[in-house]
Order: sequence, then structure tokens, then C-alpha cells
Amino acid sequence: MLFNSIDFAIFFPIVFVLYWILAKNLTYRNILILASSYLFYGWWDWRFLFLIIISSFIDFYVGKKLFKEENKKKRKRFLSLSLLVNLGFLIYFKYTNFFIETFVDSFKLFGKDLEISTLNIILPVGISFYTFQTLSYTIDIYRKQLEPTKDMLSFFAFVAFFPQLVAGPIERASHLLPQFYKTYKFNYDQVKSGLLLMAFGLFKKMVIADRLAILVNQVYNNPTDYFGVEIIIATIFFAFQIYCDFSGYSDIAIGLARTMGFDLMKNFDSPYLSKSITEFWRRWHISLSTWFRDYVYIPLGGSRNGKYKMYFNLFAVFLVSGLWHGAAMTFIIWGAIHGFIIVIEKAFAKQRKSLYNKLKINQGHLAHKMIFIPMIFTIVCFAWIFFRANSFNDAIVLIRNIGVNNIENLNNGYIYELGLVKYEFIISLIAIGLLVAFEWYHKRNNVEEILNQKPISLRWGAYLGISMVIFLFGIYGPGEASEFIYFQF
Amino acid sequence: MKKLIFKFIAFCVLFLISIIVLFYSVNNNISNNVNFKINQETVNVIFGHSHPETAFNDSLISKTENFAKSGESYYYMYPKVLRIIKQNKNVKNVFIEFTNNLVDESMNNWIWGDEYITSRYLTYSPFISVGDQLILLRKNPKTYLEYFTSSLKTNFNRVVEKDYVFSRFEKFGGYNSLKESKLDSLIKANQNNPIKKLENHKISNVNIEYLEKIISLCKENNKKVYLIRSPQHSLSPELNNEDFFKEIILNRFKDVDFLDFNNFPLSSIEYRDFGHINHKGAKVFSLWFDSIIKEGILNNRNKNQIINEKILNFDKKNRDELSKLFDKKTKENKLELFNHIIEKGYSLNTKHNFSTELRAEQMFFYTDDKKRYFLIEYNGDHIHDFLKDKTFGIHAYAYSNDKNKLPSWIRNRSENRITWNAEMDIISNNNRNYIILNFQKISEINNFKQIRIFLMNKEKYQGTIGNAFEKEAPLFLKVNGLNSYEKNNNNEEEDELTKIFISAPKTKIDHNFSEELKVSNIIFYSNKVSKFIALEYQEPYPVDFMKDKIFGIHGLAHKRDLNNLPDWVKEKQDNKLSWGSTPLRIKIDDKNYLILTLKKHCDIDEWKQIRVFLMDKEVYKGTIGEALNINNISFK
Repeated sequence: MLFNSIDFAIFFPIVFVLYWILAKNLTYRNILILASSYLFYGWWDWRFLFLIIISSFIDFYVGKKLFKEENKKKRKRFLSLSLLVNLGFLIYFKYTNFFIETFVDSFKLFGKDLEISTLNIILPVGISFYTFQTLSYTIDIYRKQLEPTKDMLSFFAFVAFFPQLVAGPIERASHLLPQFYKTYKFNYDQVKSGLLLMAFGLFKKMVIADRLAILVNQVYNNPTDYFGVEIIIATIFFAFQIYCDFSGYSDIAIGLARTMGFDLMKNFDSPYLSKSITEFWRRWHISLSTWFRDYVYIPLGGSRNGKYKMYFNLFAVFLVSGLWHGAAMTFIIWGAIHGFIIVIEKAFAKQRKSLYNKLKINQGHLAHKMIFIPMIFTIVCFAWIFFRANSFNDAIVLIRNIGVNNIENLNNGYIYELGLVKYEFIISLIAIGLLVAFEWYHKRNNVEEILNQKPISLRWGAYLGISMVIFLFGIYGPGEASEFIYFQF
Repeated sequence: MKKLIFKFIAFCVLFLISIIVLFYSVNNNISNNVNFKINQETVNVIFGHSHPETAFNDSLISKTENFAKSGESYYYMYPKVLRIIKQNKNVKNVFIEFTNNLVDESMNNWIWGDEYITSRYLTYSPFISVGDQLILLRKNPKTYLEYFTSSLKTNFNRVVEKDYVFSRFEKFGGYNSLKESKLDSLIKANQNNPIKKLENHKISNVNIEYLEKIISLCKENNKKVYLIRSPQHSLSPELNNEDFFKEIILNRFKDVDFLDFNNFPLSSIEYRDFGHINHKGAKVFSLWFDSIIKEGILNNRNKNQIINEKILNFDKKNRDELSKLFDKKTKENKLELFNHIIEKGYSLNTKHNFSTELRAEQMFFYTDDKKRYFLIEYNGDHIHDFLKDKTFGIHAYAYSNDKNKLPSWIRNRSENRITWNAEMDIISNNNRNYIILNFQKISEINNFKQIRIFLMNKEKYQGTIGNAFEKEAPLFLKVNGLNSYEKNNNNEEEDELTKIFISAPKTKIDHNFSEELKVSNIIFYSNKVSKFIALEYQEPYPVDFMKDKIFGIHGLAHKRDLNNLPDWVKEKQDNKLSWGSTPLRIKIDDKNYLILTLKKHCDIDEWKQIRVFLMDKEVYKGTIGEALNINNISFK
């Protein structure tokens, strides 16, 4: 079920009302959460529910055993079982065809054509997200950082919690699971805040992301036809498309959970205002970055074994992160670009600091931001070319074509030939402008709090305004609404 | 919780009120701005579903326009009839198809079925009253609400963009020429597997109520209404409710004339299937219909009796007469069309070799409210032989700004291209030879980004034969009425130019460039890019005389502007600048103008003198006729 669908518009109010009717009885409430989560997921394809149920069973069982068992070897075996099942599903459904293709391609390099065809495998929605979430539970118990739950119902509800089931934020058991053990009192302000966040998420997704997608798809699906400014515009638009798509989803998920009394972790923090790639990853998909930090980077040794090992670990984490996003060479290169820049930033961190001190540059100064924010945005956009291109060859074509000087197309109206007519193009620019201004302002002043202090006419005017903007300028309706990009991961 | 529910309900009510207010204002705005004007000579209009859509070839029926549209129920027909008869006082007779399947209960699906809401509601939503829309909401709320939001959004964008052009062909109907004949195979299939006859027939009350509303509406507006039944094959399974159908006529429409052409004699090759006649059948039937209208059948009391007698007595002799009439009419129509194209079409003033056998000496674009035309004056013998296994293909590339004016099946493609195989006529006039290509209009776009016309194999496209002709930004002539571009503000540059043109001062001159070309007024104006001179001329435009001529323009700059002369002036000391311009003919406020564009850029707006004269198109051999000199000119 998509958050931006009529089905969800019917599903959510029903679940919401039932939830608060049953809120005082923990068991009934959790049964409702579990049933509605399975319904939410099964609406897409009920057959893949069994994967979530198997993962939940195995990890619940493994968690208990790990806690009781003191024998290190046996504990490792239990953890391996959890890793095997969860990563096994992930590898089979997500990476089988990639490995087959890579295998065949590598033989081609030696002049041998292998006749192995790929398999017709459907990628279950959200498998990368719930697999990581449930894995964190068993790993934390293995590390003795967490006690296993005795409440099977709560655990199953934790794994399948519908607001964040298919695209995160990837929650840690230590944060989310205890929230299933307690009941909540209805809090009007909290619900209102959740609904506002959901509306903002829908604005990002429906008004910005899905509109920009039209131009981005036109250019990226026909890479040989476009040059210079067209590719630059498409890439900048993609940067905002993917941000609005994914952070929009996260906002809806967090808002949705908030209306039910739950607190989900922040997933985005104005990433395009970052002044370094390291900072970018502290602001972009925070739940995934911290997951990789805790469960890949640190186990690999982190920064404990000297700087060269640290660089290697960082680079390796970003390669794996690229692969997590998609089973294709383009994603690996995207991860490698980020990994490489982060290694450079780490390697020259001291030199940069001493240079700043010598030149008396204040990193919080506006001039510093004016230089570094656009620079980092440009690097991020360059990496997005690989992320969005349909193949490695396409990415190369796009990078080659980007060098063509056709700046005159900005004036002669040709940019309106890229799928968004002038009117739509202007709406896109206004929407992006509003978003950037809003985030800039919201970082300094909590807009929600300011709004709450305003008279009712102004507040309701704002609520009505955002609803009408989504209604009139949102991309939705039969055949127009598109899935969230991160569903494919 | 109570507080939330209360506030949520209050918010929903407020949101709903806002939507309803928006809905009303958007629909009113579109409804008031869409132009439903049709040809002012039209007296008869035909409405209905696919049966009349394919049966009445209105190019063969005098003063008649066919607005039938496949799959159209009376519910969706009502707002269309309302606007056409209200905006066109010249319409006197309204013919409405009333046939067996239109009374059937299955018509309910034609009103609120998913497929019909999808295709019809999006078009008609601004014109359907709120009360009428409630029927859709009641009967199919899910699909209605889905398309209500989509249509409101689309219509809101239309209002913002001031786009009030609705494609008639795609949306409001018109004669549809069916080429094929599948009847024999259908009859065979029917024999092997006969369709079961239904015993209990049920009526679609909603549909019939809307027919009654249409009839009342016509009567209130003093239009004569006739129910008609287009020809159907006697084996048509839809005829199995004949008794039930006749009962409804007697019970509910006895005071309306019913003209029954159901038994009009046609051979099986003149049918496409049981319910639809093809272009051959339409030719015979439409000419016959035209003849009985001209005989004054509508003024006769015993209309049906006379029609029945005429149908019964319709024999080979009648057919032959109609055939002759058709040939004569076709010839007349072709000649009329030819003259229209030559007089009003957009002349390309260019030559092109389509192949060694076919050289185009002149080419014209033209469009009327149903078709587009491309006329080629050619040089070449044995052209009939050469073209017998060939046809012309046409690719028209639309600007992406016009994407929403493309038919829906093209809109979803990445390339905004319309493709046609042209129908072709070869005619001669005044010892000159012409090929007229015609192709369905499909969309209302008149300014394409590029058009490509090429020869190809008639049976199957196997690549371009010879050299394709390509033209950037060809202009199809603008027409008024349902297809009006007068109010289209999409082309901002053109609109801006028109505004400048209208506000520019007019100077009376009464000058004869030659015996053939007389002008009464002159207007100088400019935009950021070019300068223009408009000459108001008196009809008729001397097409033949002007064919090999263009206008020359000499501008004499003030001495103070010698330093501002453009780079393309070779002799800097010379303050005389020259331009050549092929005139573009336009009509604004019923006045005819020749627009001369001074394409070579020059920043000087004020001139000591401007001289306009006629000259030979190929090479300057001196002024032809009388030059026009005007002093102290300003293009501002």
C-alpha cells in the first residue's frame, strides 16, 4: 500500500480510530498493529509475508537462545543462523541475478560466452529495511547490549510495524521495541504534530518528487539525446527528487507513528546544507549510516587499527552501502565515490584544520558556507549521476555529454521540451525554492512551534493552504502516482 | 480524542467547502470560455453514438455537421447539445440517434461504468452540472472521486494556463470514416455460434431521462428535434429488443418525429459490422439523406411514410444517380477545397524534389475543422503511374508545451510525434497539376515544431522513398469555432505580438502596388527580435500574381543613427538598409493583412524613410509596379 494512495487514505483513519479505542489494552492494541501491518504489506503481495514471518520467528527464537547460551561457539552458531536466514533471503532475492550477470560478464572478458540466463525473481518490497532492523536485534543480544523480549507479539509487531516497514527509518530494537511494551494516552498535540509532519511528507513526495521525476526520467532514460545544461538540470532535479521522495516517506512514517504515540528516529537533517561529505552522511539516511557504523564499520575495526586500516574500513563500508542500495555496478561506483571523498576528507582533516586556523577561517561563517555548501552539493550531484543512470554505459554517456556547451538552451525555451512544460517547470522551481527556504528557516526556528502560537485563523489557513497545494499541485490520480524510489532497495 | 474528531470534521468540512467553491469557479470559467461556435452556415446538427458517427458523412450533406461520438450516452451528450445550440443561433434542426441499444439497461454502464467515467468524465466535467454529477457519485463513488480530483486538477491548470482549446476530433465527435468490412465473417461466425436472444429487456431510465431533457432543451430554444435511427444490418443482435424499443417510442416519444433509416438497403460490403456502416455505405446513405433533406422531407407531415416508401423503392437506378451525384460533388468539393487552400493556405514558397519523378513547385498547408491538407503543385509526367503503389507519410512533431493537446495515446510517449498516412487526390486546374494530401486532424495544434512529409510504399512502410520534405515550424491556417485558436494564449510570443500589432498606430495610405494588389492601411510595429510591417489589403488576394514575387523594403536611417547601423550593413557610410520579405497572410477582426517581417536584426526604431515595393522572388530585377514611400517612421 502506498502512502499516497486512496487505499491508504481509507486504511489509515480506520486503523487510527481502532488503535485509540484499543489503546488501553496492550495485547489487543499490538494484535491490531500486527494485523494492520500484515494487511498493509500484503496489499502489495501477500505471498512475501511469509519472509517477514520466518525472519521474525527465527530472530525471536535466536534471541532467546543467545541470551541463555554461554558457550561462545554455540552463541556464534545461533548468530550465524540468524545471519544466514536474513542475509540469505536478501542475497537470494536481491543479488542472485547481479551475481549471475557479473559472473557471465567476467567470462566475456576472457572471450568466453557463458549461456546462463538470469532468474525471474521479484524483489520483495522493503526486504533491505526489515532485514537490517531484525538483524540489529540478534546482533545486539549477541553483543550483550540488549535483553531479548519475552513478548512474541510485541517482537512481531516491532519487525512489521507498518509506518516504517517498507522504507525505514531502520530502527534499533533498543529504541523501538520497548515502545511496544507500554500503552499510550491520547495526546492531541502529538497527534496534530504527527499529522502535520505527514502532510509535509506528502507535499515533498507528491508536489516535488513526482513532478521532478517527469523531467529526470525523460533525460536519464534517453541519455544520448541530451547534453550540457539539460543533464545538469536533470541531475539537480534528481538530487531534489530523491531527497523529497525518501525524506518525504520518512516524514510520513515518523508522523504516522507519532499519531499512534510512537517515536521513530530522525532520518534526514537538511543534507544538502552540508559542508563536507562526512557531514552529508551524518544528515542523509541517518538510520542506515548509523547501522553501517555500528554493525559493519566498528566490527571491521573502525579507527582502532591505524589510519590506513580506517581508510580501508570506511571505503569498504561505502562500497557495501552502494551495494545495499541496488544490485548494479552503478550503485557500487556511487558508494565508491562517497567512500573515496570521505577517505580524502579524513586523510587531510588535520591539514584543513590548521589551514583554517592560520587563515582564521570561521567554519560557521556565511562565506564559508557559501563556498562549501554548493561545492559539496556539486559532488553529491555528480555521484547521483551513477545512482540514477540506468546502466554504467548510460552514466558514462551522460558524463561525456555534460561537457557540451549548450547554455543557450536556457534562453530559447528548449528546457521546456524535457517533459515539464513551462508552467510545470516554474511550479517545480517555486516548490524547490520554498522547500530550501523552509528547511533553512526551520533549522533556526521551529516552524511548528511558531505556528502553534499564531491565532486559529492563521493556523487553519496554513493547514488548509498546504492541503490545497497538495490537492491541486500534487501528482496523483490513476496512472500518475509513482512508488517511492527507496521501495526498490 | 473528542477534540481531535471535532476539529478533524470541522477541517474536512472547510476543505470540502473550498473544493466545492474551486470546483464551481473553475468549471464556470472553462464553461464560459470554451468556444462551441460552429460553421455559421450549418443548419442541421447530428448527435449520437458510433452508429451515426460512421453513417453520416457530413462533407456530403449540405449545411450539416455531425457531432456523434462513439460510446456516447445521452447523459454526456446533454452538456454538448446545450452549448452547441445555445452558441449557434443558425442551427435549426437537431438530429439525435435513437436506436435499439440506446434504450437498453447496459447504457447505465455507458454513464457510470469505470471505462466511461475514465474517458468521458475528464472531457465533459467542466460542462456537467453539479446535480448531474451527483448521479455519478451515487452510482460509482470510487471511480468518480478518483476522476473528480484528477479532472479538477487538470481543469484548474487549464484556467491558470488559460488553455480553453478542446480538440473536437478527440473529444466532441465528428464523422468517422471506417475503411474495412468484416460483415461476412461476422455473419459466418453468427451462424456457427448464434447469439442468444434475450427475453426480458430492461430500460436504462437515466439515459432515457437525459434524452427527454435534450428534447425539452431543444424545444425551449426553438430547435426542431428529430430522433433518427441509422442503418443497421437485419442480423444485428441489437435488434432483438425491437418490440421493446418500439414500445418505448410509443410510450415516451410519440410527440417527437422519429426518422427510421434502419432498413436502408445496403450491401454487406457497405457495412463494417452489424451496427456500423463503412465509408462506402456512408457515401450512399449520406447522399441519399442529403437528397431527402433537400426535397423538404422535414416539412412534410408524413415523414416516416415517405421515408419508408423511398427506402422500399431505392434501387440500382437511385444508386447510380447517387454515384453520379457523388462524383459531381466530389469534384466540386475538391475544387472548392483547392481554391480554399490556394486562397487561405500557408504558402511555403519553396521547391522540393520528392524524387526524380516528382518535383514540387509550390506547397501549401491548410486546415479546416476536421482535416489537415498539404497541397503540392508538381511538375512531372506519368505521376499516376509513379504514385499508384505509393502514399505519403507525415510526421508532425509537437512542441512539448502542446503535449496536453495531443491525443492521449500519443501523450504518454516520450516523443511528441503524430504520424499519418495521407489520403491523396490528384487534380488539374488551369493546366497546372496538383496533389492534395489530406489527413485527420487528431489534435488542435496548428503550430508544430517540425513537419516531415515523405513518399513511402502504400502497403507497408519500408523506409522513405526519395527525399523527405522537412519544414521547421510550419503554420497551419487558423480556423474559428470549436477549433478556435483565437483565445489560445499558450503561444505567448505570438499573443504578445498580436497585442503589439493591435495597439500599433495605423496609417491610411490607399496605395496600389499593382493593378492586382491594393492596400489601404499600413502599420509599423516591432518586438524584441524583429520589426514588422503590416499592409491591410483588399480581397481577393492575387495568388497567381504574387506567386513569384516578394516584398523589398528599403529603410533610410537618420544621420544621427549612422553609428548604430547593424554589423550586416556592408557600407557603413551608406544609411540605406535593405530587407526582403515573403508576406504572411493573416486575418484579424475581419480585416486582411500581409505581414512583412524584417528578419535581419537592426536596433534602429526611427527611420527617415521606408520604401516598400514588389520584386521578383528569385532575383532583384527592379521594382514591379508602384513602390510605397513613407517618411518619418517609428517602429516603437
